[in-house]
Amino acid sequence: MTNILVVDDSEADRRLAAGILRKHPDWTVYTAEGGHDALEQIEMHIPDVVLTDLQMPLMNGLELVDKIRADYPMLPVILMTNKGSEEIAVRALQRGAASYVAKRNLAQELRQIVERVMHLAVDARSQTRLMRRMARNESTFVLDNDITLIPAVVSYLQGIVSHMRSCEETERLRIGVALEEALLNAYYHGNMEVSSELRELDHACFYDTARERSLIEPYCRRQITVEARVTPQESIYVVRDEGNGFDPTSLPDPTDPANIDRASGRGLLLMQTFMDEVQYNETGNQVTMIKRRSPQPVPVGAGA
Amino acid sequence: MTASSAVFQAEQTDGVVVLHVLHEVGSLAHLNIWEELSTVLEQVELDPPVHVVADFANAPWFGSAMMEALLRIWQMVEPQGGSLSLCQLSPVAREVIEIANYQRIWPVYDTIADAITAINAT
Repeated sequence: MTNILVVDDSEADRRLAAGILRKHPDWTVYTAEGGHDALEQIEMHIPDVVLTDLQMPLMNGLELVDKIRADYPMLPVILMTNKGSEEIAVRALQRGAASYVAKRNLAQELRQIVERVMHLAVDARSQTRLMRRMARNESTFVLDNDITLIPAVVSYLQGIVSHMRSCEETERLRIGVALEEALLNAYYHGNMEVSSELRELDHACFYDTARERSLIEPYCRRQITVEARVTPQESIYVVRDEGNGFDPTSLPDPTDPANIDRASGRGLLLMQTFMDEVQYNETGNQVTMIKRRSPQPVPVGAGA
Repeated sequence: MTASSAVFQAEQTDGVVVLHVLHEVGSLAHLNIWEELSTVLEQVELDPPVHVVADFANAPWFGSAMMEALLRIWQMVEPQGGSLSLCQLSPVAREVIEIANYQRIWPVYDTIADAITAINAT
């Protein structure tokens, strides 16, 4: 049995949407008059889908989407839009709403859209369950000279560790920060050989130099290799560039108040803080970072 | 007065420039963040002293590239009596700022309103 929560402050629209959905023999429909009422009902009983109006007093559909995404990330939300609510609908979709249906087309389209979203949600849940059973994952990426791929690699590796270790959002973000700093170092300081000193002397020149070098030999042929080995206990990331390497000890100490207005050294500091171990090879063109799983709280009575 | 780029939006409120990150987009490090920011800031008519509040409600994390851009904003406004404040930082974003020791020069507030109130009180 599928449970659907319909949220709309307009009684007529609420009845119409609920009536259309109740025609399906396997669907049970609940209703709420607004965002707060909806959240209370979800807390008591999580539905399979939420169908919500966008323009409501006190808490609009956009705010409701945000709260549901934060507390129930696997719960799909479908928006009901009116003429004039297109802009807010786009924002809600950007923030994670699953789909939308125009109120004037409810009779023709609503059931089909709910069925499609339900199907996708079931697939997504199965995928999540499967990923939580992954025992080991090894990935290797060889990135050409394209900085726009860096966020994609970071996001992919964050996803792996997040699924496999069911880690907290904070840990996922910390790993993302450290990985990205390692990759940016590999690109700018490693492969493009642009120095930190130049960045402090002339910020624009630093980026212009990197851009120019990315088009000429030997820099344009250089690649960044990223290796990741993730298990539920720890993740190991190796980032290697094809530059001449650098001496990490040569960077200024960014925590020294005298260096507060210098841009250099903060990336490495973030890597060292957010990972449990950070080691460079002798040449200084390869960094290995290890992140171990934080100790999990022991359930009460587990030791008895 | 409001100005925006693909990722940032600046608006003047009570004499303060509030700089929003518009979308939830990772760390933005694939962009030249400073270029994006300066495009937006150039569109706002700024008479010193300029007080900037950077709102990170939609940026749950960032790294040294964003901090470098913030540093440049601060270096631009501070000599003329202006300031840079940060607000709505996620726990990790706050941690990043504290690790780099920038909370010493950029006050961090929970909300935009708190930041503007503090600026107007000085």
